[in-house]
Amino acid sequence: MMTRSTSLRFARAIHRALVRLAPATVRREYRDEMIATFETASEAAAAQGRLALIRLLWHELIDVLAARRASRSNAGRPQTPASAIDASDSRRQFEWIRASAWRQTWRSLTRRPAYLAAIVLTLGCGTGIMTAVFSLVDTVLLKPLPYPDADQLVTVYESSPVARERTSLVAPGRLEDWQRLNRSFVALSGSYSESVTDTSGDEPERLDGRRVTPRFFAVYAAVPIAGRTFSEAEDASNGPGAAVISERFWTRRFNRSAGAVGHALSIGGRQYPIVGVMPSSFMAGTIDLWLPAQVSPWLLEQRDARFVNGIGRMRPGVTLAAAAADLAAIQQGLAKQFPKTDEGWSAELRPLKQARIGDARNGLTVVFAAVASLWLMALANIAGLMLAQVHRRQRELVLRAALGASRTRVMATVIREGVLLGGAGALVGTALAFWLTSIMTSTLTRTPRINELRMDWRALGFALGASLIAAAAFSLVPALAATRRGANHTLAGQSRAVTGRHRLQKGLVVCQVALSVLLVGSATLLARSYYNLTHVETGFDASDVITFHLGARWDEDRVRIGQLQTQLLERLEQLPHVSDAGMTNFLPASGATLRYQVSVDGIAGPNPDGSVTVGTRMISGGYLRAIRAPLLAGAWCPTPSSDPKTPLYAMLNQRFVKRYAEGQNVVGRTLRMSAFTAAFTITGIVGDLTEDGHATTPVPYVYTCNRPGAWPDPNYVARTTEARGFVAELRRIVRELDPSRAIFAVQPLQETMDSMLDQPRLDAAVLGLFAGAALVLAAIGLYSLFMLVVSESVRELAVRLAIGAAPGQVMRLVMSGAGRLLASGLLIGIILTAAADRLLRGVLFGVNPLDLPALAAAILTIAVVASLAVFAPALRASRIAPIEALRAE
Amino acid sequence: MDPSGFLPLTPHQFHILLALVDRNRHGYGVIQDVDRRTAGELRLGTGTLYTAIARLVELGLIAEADRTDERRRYYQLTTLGRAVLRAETARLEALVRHARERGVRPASVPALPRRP
Repeated sequence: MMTRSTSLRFARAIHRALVRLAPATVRREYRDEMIATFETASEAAAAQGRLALIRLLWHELIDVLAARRASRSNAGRPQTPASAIDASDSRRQFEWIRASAWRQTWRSLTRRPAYLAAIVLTLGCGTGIMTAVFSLVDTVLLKPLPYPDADQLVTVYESSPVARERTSLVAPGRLEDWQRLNRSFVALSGSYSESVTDTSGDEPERLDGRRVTPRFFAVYAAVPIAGRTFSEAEDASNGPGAAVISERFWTRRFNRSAGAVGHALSIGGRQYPIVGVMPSSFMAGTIDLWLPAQVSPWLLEQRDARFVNGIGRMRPGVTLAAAAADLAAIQQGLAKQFPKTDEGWSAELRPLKQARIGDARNGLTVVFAAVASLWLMALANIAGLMLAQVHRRQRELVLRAALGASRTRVMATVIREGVLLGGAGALVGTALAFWLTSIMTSTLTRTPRINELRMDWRALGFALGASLIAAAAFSLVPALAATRRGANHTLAGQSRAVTGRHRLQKGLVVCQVALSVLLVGSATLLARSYYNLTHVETGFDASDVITFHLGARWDEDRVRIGQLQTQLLERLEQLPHVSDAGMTNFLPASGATLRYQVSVDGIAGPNPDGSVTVGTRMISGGYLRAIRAPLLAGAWCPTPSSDPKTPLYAMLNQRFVKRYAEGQNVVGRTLRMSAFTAAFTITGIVGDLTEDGHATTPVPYVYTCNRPGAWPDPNYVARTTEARGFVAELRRIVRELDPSRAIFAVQPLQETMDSMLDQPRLDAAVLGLFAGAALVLAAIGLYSLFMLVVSESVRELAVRLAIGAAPGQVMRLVMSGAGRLLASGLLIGIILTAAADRLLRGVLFGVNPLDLPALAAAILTIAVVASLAVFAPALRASRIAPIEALRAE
Repeated sequence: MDPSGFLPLTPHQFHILLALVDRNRHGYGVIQDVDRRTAGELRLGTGTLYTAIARLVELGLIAEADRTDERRRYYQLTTLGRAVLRAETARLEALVRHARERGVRPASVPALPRRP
């Protein structure tokens, strides 16, 4: 807090600045006097408290402005006291900054509660929603990630330029080579996900875990909120067990007790003492714990086993391009050293932020643009409402102006009203934004970085700025309109023509119609796009299929887990209501788009070594049967035995055959994958499944039927006619086979598939909602404008009716006036939609942004709604009783 | 000089002259006197006060008094100023008398008419 003497000094400094505003003649002679007088006055005021001092300063401001004004009015007049305008008169010019005037304006607003509520609620909702969405966009897209020097963090991938395909995960051995040889990074590290089952509690609990390679926490420069991160010994192969848990897990399981550190988790029969807790800002969502990967020397040598998500921190000053070039050069060296596995592979870097945000950027931008359009429409409506009020009071205002009220005085009234309404709207909007933000945090769990979302000063500043712009827009526009027109014109005659006036308000309505086209058009496009996504030929039948996981770790004994998998699937298939059961490492459209090079006997692939780049899935034969994938040729691959000497089998998809082996019989040929030394015998061809996602066209895929246990934690699927009974049976079977295993993520496959469409569905729903709101706003705008026009043109319309116009003609007159506005609005709207083409293209599937049916539907909808909105005023115009109307005028 | 040539006075000018009737005052003294006399209805700020003072000095209705305080300028009524004040009071009295004769009575008696 300021002490009294500082506030006094502060006040005097302000006053000294104010003195500069005093009339020059006075200032020259009396400057020192004015300052001395204020010093005495301010001392007396300060003795009464700070408020009195502020009041004194305020008074001085008005006073000096009044004095300045008075002296200007006196300039050039004869210097007799009688003719001099006193400052006490000119003070009134500044009444709009006087406190009592504000109270008066507020009282006058509260006398019109409907008007006040309509504006404050419209503005409050608009500002609130826009602030919340801004805060979301700001958090996800604009703010840096919550790590020190986050712009130096990059995700690290391997890429195979030969195949011109997407990036791949990194082999841990290669990551260690890069770490050892590079000169651009502070550190490189990586992680891979692993669901683990902890049996240290009363019941086995399935946890979402990440195995991390050495230096993982150091790369992020992340600091735990309790305990520490892994030591060098714990990171090493065969090191002691250790776990770092997330704040979420710490809260859920240990109630944030300090005693959690030191507690040992029991995972797969091994003890993992908790050594630290990471804050929730460290990583999004569902992760419960991090365990050291402790990659064995054997696995480090498997240079084809690419399964680690690489992450690196570049040295300060190193650019992304330089770091990528460094790794590429290192990789070239490695290719000479390990030609078999490293030839043709390179490295690719992406900013971590970009990788985290991913596809969310397009959707968020569209939503924000939509909300901003809606907000503009709400503003236009408020301005329209205020304009209507001003028009209604036009005669009064003009009369007042004619009687001597100055233009500034009339404007001041309108401006005060605008500022008060803007302020009230900002309050409502901020409260709403806080509420919406907390709702979004708990509902938009799939949105990246949502854990960082909170209302902060940036969002508040945005809300305030938006409200200020709003207040300025809808107070200045009507204020200027109120005072611009010449007094004589308005007093002399009411109106010239039905469509001749209210140019400003008409402009606003045209803008509203245009924005409606944009919003309704976009919503229709998104709805069509969503429809297309739901009607994609997926190539399989997800109904009546249940998927689930069974807790297993990567470092478990593969033979043992293989036996468990085989027994489980056999037992399931014996159930009377289960027709088929199987497993796959990744479900279709689950986001896994791994690419491998395979070579098939007798097929010359496009790659230099004759191989073909394909997507792959590791499956059991029962999996494809369970999801009813069509068998086009050959036979389902048999379940391989765990004996490593027996042969392995694989299947191809139709696309593979069409592209590389059209007209050939590939069944029975041998397929080799670069990643594995073993050869596969092709047993059959299946139809194309949408493995890479619903929005992509199928690419060649190879389904390998590996030995059980090759993928310890696959997605199990079973086709059953009794979903409810199935889960109970499943629990019983697992308990009998291995009671330490947790069953988790039990879900109908249909739901899993549907949830992939959550984002497009949400986009379409949100935009649909906005489009509806836009229609309502535009309809209100049209309705109120034409009600005003009709009520002001009563005399003209009455004359027309009196001299024989049919009511229908009068209606047509009004409707055609509306039609012209509508047409210009629609035209501008189509241009806007075309301009938004690039923005929309990113979120649409199977629809062109200028899709004719969608646009036509949008335009038709708007035309119908607009006609309905204008119909009431038009009907009213046609029912004017000419005689009464003319007499009243 | 004929005092009636200066009439009518503005409210500010009238109050400042009135403040100097019984004694010489400096600027803040005038502000305080007017404030007290009008029960806070008229509060002069430094801007309007010195604009008015400059004008009154220019017209010769008030003048700087001999300094009793080194730092402050004191003001006194000139003979002309006193005559103008008397003439203005007479003019106002006459106005009030005319109104009273027609039966106009104020509802309450504010020191200065408050604006609506």
